[in-house]
Amino acid sequence: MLALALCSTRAGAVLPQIDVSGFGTGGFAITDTGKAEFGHAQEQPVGANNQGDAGVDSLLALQGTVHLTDMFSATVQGMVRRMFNPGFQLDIPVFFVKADLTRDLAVRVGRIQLPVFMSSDYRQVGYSNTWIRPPIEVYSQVPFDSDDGVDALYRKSVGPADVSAQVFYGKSDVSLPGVPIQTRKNWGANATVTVGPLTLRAGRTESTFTARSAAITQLLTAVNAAGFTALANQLNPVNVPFNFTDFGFSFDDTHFTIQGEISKATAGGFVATTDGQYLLVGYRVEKFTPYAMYARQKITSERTDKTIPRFGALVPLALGVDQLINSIGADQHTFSAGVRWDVHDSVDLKLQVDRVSPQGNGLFINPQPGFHGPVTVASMTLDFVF
Amino acid sequence: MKRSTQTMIATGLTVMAALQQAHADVVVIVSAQSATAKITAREISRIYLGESNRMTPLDIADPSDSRRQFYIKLTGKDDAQVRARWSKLVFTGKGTAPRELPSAADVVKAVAADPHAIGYVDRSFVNITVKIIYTVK
Repeated sequence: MLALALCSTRAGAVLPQIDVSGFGTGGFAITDTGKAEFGHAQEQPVGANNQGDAGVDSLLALQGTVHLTDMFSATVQGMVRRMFNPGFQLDIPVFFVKADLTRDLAVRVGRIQLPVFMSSDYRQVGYSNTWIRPPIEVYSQVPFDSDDGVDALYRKSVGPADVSAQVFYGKSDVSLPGVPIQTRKNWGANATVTVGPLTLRAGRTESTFTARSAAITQLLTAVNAAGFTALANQLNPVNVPFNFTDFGFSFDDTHFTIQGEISKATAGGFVATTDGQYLLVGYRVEKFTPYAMYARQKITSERTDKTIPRFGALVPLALGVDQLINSIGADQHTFSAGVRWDVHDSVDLKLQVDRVSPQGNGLFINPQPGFHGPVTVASMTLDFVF
Repeated sequence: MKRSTQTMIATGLTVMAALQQAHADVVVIVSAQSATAKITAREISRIYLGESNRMTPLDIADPSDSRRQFYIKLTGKDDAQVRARWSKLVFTGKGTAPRELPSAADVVKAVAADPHAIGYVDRSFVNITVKIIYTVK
């Protein structure tokens, strides 16, 4: 990572040190279906189909940190990727001022990566990860990934263990295709303990969200007008709770790299409650790390509305409600196999094949009538850091 | 005859160089002012992989023998694995990768000036301003 230490202009007046670093991924993914698209997150409005696509995994990020004093620094990260919009766009996922109060304790104010998953912080940095992309079955459970607010980071070595903890508070605004989501009073805490090659992590996030769109309002107005006021209120996604719990572990020694997480998302309004799990096992031999992964998501809340009687003119309304309560979250599982090749010091090349089995449309985007799984996805990426 | 003398000299130089290489000890140093007198290999590894924040690690910029020897022996990881580790911390602003200094002499100077700093250099660079707390074998 490149450190540009700007030299002093005159004796005694030293300009602050600036670190510039970056990372990126060039990727291509192709599937065996033309009837739906595969994306790495639900925030992606378009994905890969049997024509192939370079936008699922490709991104480029540049980060600068200015060390203002020994205590204060400012960091900004700009990223070009395909998220929220069909084309590549620049956004600023990280922007904060950090105060290192002691060697163990730091406070940040600004925009940080929402630390909900074990790999949340570096999920975009392909080079830091064994996989091509985080398993969508788990990592799509929270469809927003940054947080505007404040956090505190604590680190301490206790005997053979290195402990770190984080608490945060803030808000976020994201735009899923057609559904703007505002989350408020996001707060959470997580703790990580590392002993030798083993790391354990537990995290909890709570927030209140509002998701308004013309289609949702129209449907709920019709539900209300048909006399199902309680149901309309129950599904209305205005200031409803969203809670997330995640447990993760990783084991990383000279040869083995193993990691897994189990997670539970519970939500109010129309958003489904889901469970997620994945396990990745890799075995490093020199510059090559072949790996296998299994991931799944399961909806544990009601998938069919039982309030609206299904006859006559009410059938379309009931089907509309069913569609709504199944719009976020899915039953889906994926078997993946791949290999990471460390081509050079800061460059890797990965190949991965996924066999994705969705129930119905699963987590696929833009499904067409007649779509069904399972779907095979083949991907290749080149990751780098500098 | 002349040729074989040359060969003998060349061989002799090679052997001497090899012997020197074998004796080149990489040592881990802190400031002479530092309270740390001893450290375990595991603790050094934790500091250099960004797991422990007990001390501020310094690196030698060029892919020198000292650097390679140090990382492989103490962390059991090669440059790529170490970089992958640090990029997890760097790109979230949680940590700063070890500062890379141009030469071993610069590492000695920086370590001498900061009681929290830790570095590794070839033993021949060590002077009175720093103290050896570990020898990489």
